[in-house]
Amino acid sequence: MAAPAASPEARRSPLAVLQRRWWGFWRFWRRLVRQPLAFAATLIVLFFMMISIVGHWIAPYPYDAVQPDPDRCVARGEAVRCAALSNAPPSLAHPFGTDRNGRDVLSRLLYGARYTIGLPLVATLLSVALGTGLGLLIGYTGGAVDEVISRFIDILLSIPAIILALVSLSTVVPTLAASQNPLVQSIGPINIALVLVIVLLYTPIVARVIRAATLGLRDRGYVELAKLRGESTLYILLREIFPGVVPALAVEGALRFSYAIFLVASLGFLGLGAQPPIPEWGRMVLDARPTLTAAPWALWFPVGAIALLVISVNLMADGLQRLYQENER
Amino acid sequence: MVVEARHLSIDYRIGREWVSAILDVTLKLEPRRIHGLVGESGSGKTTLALALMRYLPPNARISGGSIWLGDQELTHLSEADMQRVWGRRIALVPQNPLEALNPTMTIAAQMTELTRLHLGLSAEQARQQALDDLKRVNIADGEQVLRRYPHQLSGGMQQRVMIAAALSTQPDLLILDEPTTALDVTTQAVILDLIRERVRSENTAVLFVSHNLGVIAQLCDTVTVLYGGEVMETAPVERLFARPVHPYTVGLLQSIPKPDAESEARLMTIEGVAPSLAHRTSACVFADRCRAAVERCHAEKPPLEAVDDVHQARCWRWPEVQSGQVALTPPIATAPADPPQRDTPVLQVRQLQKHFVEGGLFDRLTGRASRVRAVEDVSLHVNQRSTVGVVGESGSGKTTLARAIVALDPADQGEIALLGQPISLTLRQRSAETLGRLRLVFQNPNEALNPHHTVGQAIGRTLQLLDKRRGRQTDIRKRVAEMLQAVGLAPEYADRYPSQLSGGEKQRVAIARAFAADPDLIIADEPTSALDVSVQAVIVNLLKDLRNQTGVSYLVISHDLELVVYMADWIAVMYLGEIVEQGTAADVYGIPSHPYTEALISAVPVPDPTVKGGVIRLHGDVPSPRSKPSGCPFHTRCPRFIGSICVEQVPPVRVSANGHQIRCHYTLDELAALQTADRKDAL
Repeated sequence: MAAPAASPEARRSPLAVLQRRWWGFWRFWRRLVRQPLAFAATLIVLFFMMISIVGHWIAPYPYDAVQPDPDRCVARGEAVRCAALSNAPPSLAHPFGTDRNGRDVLSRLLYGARYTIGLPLVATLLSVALGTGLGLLIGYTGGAVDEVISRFIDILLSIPAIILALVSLSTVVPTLAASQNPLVQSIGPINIALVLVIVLLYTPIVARVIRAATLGLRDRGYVELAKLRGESTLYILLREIFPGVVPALAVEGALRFSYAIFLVASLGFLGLGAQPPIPEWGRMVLDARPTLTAAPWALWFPVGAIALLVISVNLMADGLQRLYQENER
Repeated sequence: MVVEARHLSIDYRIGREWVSAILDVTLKLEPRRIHGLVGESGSGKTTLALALMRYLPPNARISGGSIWLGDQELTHLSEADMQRVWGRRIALVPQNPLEALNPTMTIAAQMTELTRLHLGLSAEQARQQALDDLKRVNIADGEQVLRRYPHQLSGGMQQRVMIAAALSTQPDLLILDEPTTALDVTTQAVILDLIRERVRSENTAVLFVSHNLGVIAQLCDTVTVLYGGEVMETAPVERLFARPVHPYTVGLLQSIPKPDAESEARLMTIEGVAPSLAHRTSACVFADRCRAAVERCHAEKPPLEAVDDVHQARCWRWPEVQSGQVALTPPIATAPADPPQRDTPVLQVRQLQKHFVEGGLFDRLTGRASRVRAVEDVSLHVNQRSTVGVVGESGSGKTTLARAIVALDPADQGEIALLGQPISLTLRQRSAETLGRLRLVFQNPNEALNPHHTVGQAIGRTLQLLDKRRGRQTDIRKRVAEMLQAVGLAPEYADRYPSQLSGGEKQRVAIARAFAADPDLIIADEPTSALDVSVQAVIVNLLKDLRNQTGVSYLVISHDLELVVYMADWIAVMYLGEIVEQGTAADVYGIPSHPYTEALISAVPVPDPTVKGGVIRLHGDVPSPRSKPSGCPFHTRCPRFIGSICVEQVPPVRVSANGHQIRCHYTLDELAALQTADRKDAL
């Protein structure tokens, strides 16, 4: 939101603005540090996010490369051909071991982070943006608009999420796959479909939370006074009400993120998400299931990564909530 | 049994530090006596009251002193032992009865709980006693009330039940924490009568906590003035109100608007804000705001000294205050502004009507929605440079009227004219010019200022949109500084957020913003009721000064008759959405007046213990505007009820020569005769 050019804010010295902003951030940081659990969780989430960006550069091996077993090599003329190093336990060369196809589990985890974290992140941001806009609008307008859209949201929310996801995936994916659009093909029809499904599932939930927060603010005196000086609805929504719903938004956003991670991993596990050989973590769990006893590490590392990530995001959401509650006091 | 606090100190933990909230307070409460504890918000009066029953939040501790209940010391008792004291020997009546009563239990269940637990009564005995207790608080149909749930009772009735329950175990100490603050003034009068007569007949010591000096004067025997968690002055009530020796008490008493005061006189104010307790220094806690402070006051804390055997004060200069050597008189009146101009009304409201339809879409379609007739047939003029007051209790429609005039809740019917030009009833059709001429100030400055915008942004935005002089944009910051200066704030305040301001400062900002567009009329909805008395005086003075400087007019909405009489030159009294009386302040306050106005005046607790308030009491509850009584809406409670004519016919408006209007079946002369006769009887 750009401040209106004429407000005193705009002409304040940039340094003063920076100082004020920085001060707010500093206070926030201090409070966060005082909650060790939430702080640690936030660091872990940030770490995972970083992995999802740089993972494929730091991975020691390509995600789909079959690792050779040096003990089972046969020289054929010039070339040396080795058997696959399947189900190898963790070692120095392969810290997380290898899977039944002989691929390095660590490399696959690092590479797959962009699917298991990146997709939910994009989808969450989209649904938070859409849901906030919708929630602000229906919460502030009220009346018939609110009534109709809210009932529609109720209907959407009454359908079990996983079923809605299955149905929409099965209809959206073939349509996208048939598309000739180069952009769609380069991102991957399944990835787009997953994001769309999450947006469809979570936008109504976010909208409902923001609507409730807006209802609590729309009759506040300062909103009424804004009406009395002839402000437009857009100004009232963005400048008067929106700052007040940010706490609810931050907490709900973090919560949605953790659910989205779970949903993507679950769909992967059901074989509906990313297709082999893409090492999405849920898919890795599915692929490692047959060798549960022979190579448990191939199962436990992706499971552990998902669990650690989801728990961390949840703890971070809790911490945020407590921070905002403290702020209100 | 005598209850005593000796050198009691209470600390709160804030962050990692212990902050002293109560310091070295000594109180002595005697049976059958009502001890008043008066102080502004943040003075620690509620903390002290709760500490006496050792009922403190987990982050508080008693850091010194002792509490004696007869010969038993309370500070060393265990929680389990205290549970035998609470409710049995010490009872509490809190401010808000609806929060104290459990909404899921009947009154019977809640009243018998105490007596069964502490006195070991059987269910039947307890019920019988509850009936007796209710009778003693003047609830005749006890059987009915016992069967009800709390929300089915009116506020006054709930508070009576609370008092009855508190007294049911015949406690040694009864603590009343602002028991009438949430009630209307006519209900408050009834409850105060009740407390007065009930308490005297029990062997109970009473601590009455209040910020309202009128209530204290009318009810208490002894008064302790608390400031910054320390006792400033303790004295018998007549002494304290007649000859206070502490500058703070003097300031408090003089900051109350009195209806008989010259309306151009300024109120005495106590400048500055309540002290932050985080840094107790060795200075007198009041020194920073004291008009009489000398060097010694800032260096050394005065002890609580005995003026005589019943009167104590904590001030270095009390002998000088007592002998009149220190001048603490209010500042002289400002030069009177141009007198109100009667012939050019700023605002004319004609036959305004506002009904609310309750119920959802379904109820509306099936015709089951009920109509709330909030404002009906209201006509009102505001002349230039004048202040018009609208008085009424909750549910009178006074706020709805204000909101209809500014079009936040547009009126259904009627006409509104600004400077002679009719304006639209709906907000969207009003021009920016109209919006700028007609501004609103809210009751609660916390509501009025967006916590996410700085003061400068708040005022600047109004200037930008509505200022008639709408000059180049570079001027705005300068204009904001001017506006802040006009309300007595430094220009640096432009960069602050509302959370960094005190309540009084926030209200000043809200007022500055209202004046930003150079308005012709400001509608102020309870402009001071969220503020302390000393701050109220500052705001009232400010509003007067600004009127004199700018020639603006005010429409002041308030439940506080005395304030309105002090501020306004024309007053309208509302009851159930109708104006029952309007006239000049002197006419409305004098004789004749509408029976409802008469009851209102009678109910106001006068802040002078030697003046007993009126004796007219309104019984019963205000009828719901959903089912307004036929004929005269006041007939269900009217002390001058004539007969069937009041029930059947809408009373005519009687108008006197100078425009004094009363809506009553009695003529003005008849009312005057009746009221003069009653006053003679009372004397």
